[in-house]
Amino acid sequence: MARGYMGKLLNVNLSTGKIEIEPLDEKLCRDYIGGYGLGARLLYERIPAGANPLGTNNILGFLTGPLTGTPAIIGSRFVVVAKSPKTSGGWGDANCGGYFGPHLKFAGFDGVLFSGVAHKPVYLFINEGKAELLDASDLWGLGVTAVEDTLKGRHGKDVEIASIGPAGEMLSLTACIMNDKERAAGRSGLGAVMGSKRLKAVVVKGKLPVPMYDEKGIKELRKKYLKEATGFFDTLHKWGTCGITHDSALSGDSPVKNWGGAGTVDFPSERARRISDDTVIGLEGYKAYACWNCPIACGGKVRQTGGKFALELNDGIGHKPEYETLCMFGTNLLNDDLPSIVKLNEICNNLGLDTISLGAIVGYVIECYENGLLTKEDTDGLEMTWGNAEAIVALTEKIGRREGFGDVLADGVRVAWKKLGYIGTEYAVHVDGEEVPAHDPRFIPGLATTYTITATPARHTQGGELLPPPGLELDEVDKYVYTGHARNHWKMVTTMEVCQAAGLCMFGYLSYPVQAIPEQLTAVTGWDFDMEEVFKTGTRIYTMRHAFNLREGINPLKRNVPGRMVGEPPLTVGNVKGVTVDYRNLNKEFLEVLGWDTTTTVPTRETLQRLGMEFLIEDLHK
Amino acid sequence: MRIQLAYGREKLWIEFPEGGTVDVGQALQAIKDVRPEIYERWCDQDGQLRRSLTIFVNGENIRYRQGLETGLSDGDEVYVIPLIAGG
Repeated sequence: MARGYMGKLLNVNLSTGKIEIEPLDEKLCRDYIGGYGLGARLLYERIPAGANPLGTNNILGFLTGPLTGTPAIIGSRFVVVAKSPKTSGGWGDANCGGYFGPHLKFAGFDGVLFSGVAHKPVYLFINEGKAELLDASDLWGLGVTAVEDTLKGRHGKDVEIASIGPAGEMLSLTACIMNDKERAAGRSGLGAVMGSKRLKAVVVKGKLPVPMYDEKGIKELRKKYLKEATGFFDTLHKWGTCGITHDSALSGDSPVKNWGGAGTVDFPSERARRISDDTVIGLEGYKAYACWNCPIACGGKVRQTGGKFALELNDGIGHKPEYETLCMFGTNLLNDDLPSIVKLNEICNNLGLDTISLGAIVGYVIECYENGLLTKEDTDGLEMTWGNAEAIVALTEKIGRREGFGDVLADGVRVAWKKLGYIGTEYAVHVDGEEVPAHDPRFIPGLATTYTITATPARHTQGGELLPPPGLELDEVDKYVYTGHARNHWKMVTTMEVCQAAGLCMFGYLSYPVQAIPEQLTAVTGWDFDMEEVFKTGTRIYTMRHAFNLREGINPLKRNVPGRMVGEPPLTVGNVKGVTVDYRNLNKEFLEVLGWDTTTTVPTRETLQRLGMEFLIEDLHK
Repeated sequence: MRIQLAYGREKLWIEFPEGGTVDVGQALQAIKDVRPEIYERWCDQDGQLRRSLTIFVNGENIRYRQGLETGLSDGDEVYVIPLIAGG
């Protein structure tokens, strides 16, 4: 087995309680690396087409990459994969930092795949190569904070935990999987998949070493690249992602007023500053927080013990809200009350909710309410107006607990829109059921391709023009000329695929020379990687995730595209006024570069052969 | 004539001779001598402004005016926003 891997997967059948160790297939690791790549390859084989995402045939996987838990910059990540209950039964995945990923490897495994459904609530405890399913009846119904406190009390402070809150138990499609209390594998509705399996938590413990091909070499690379911090490093190190909130609000990057407004008009500088940069890190008791072995430390904790939004958990200390949370509950709702957003962060983290989705749902409700499509009778008496912080907090809590009107909203914008009788179609901003994150394609047009073509729609962390890594050679193009972008886009999304499959954090990718990715992979695994190999392997992973969707009958060109997201019609004010993104042409040129059919999106036989994916030809070219 | 250049939380004033005309491109180039580390972030080795930057004059994107040739007046604020990312 190549280095970087523990060499073992754990298969847990929750229906039978059977636990089996499976040797990791070296060829699959070479071709798909780990994380989303390995997950998509394995689950394509093991989940039957048409399976119910919340049924026994779905498989929920927790996977790491070969650089997870190594000195590589920044090997802190793990991913969760499954068939998504949220995006028309397509491919689902989510990515998370914290401490769980490295410790899953230190406990002896590269990943765990859960099949079946348990008869009663359970959790899995892995202790240095040994695993057992334990009763979680006493944990069912608890929030994430209480679950982690209880399990650390039971198994020791040196365990790491991934768990769901009540939202996941109640199969809310907006539910996350959490670790370290407040780090989220947020998207694709995977908390609901975990809840459907009656799996409350995965607990890992161990100190096993990760084997490395050239241990001295990877340590030297770390030293070398730490001195070459560049790109986004300064901003992330000082503020975390809250450092960009003000500028994004004004530039047109952030959604304002549920994507219908403009920062310069509806949320001008003085308001944006109240939920941005120095204001956030100026909160009481601010202290930086780093995920495992991270030199950037973009996170932070703050204390909020007084006022109407006092934190109730962890002695009043919570993680500072990051950019997505600040925008989706801030600019998007015209809410500049920072303590309310700190409180919303606590509610979502403890109940196990995706803050992007929640901010989008509340935005949809407010706009419907402001336009007379909903009344106080519908909203359980809440006055859902722009910027009403108390009502926003109250509704979010109701959604997380599926109480009253919250039950209608708990499965996201698309389901809510259907349940409410298709009201406010224009206000329901999602792509194929996934709420759109807080970066606007009218400001970064290439994002329209990321949001619509990627296997998991409406995801800002899937690479593309939002995320150019330092040192990647790109063509000079005008972002508002909608041709000639495809090759750049391809380089960026495929590099991101490899970054994430390797178990690296994308903030390392944005803060150090991109060459660090192939060099670190080579040092740890012993396989030869250069940028050309990164592009090719990334294309294979991108194609594998897409193939899962094709087999489910999903053609990304047929996904709904919210008009507001692409300027149809364009805004008449603000810094992206007049912009209509020709995403159709951007997508067409990108499909041509990928070697996928520009109508069906099926990869050509030649493309599959070039990528060594001949096994897909029979399925995709029937 | 004084022009304010702002980049995130950093702000600085650049002085130009009275009576002359200054456009956005000239104001950005003027930072080369004053703050070379910021100039490197804004311009490539050939002195060309990086395409990843978005530039505003008094809050309005220069795309809606005359681009880098947008004329400036005493006291104007030129605000530079890099391509940004967040999660």
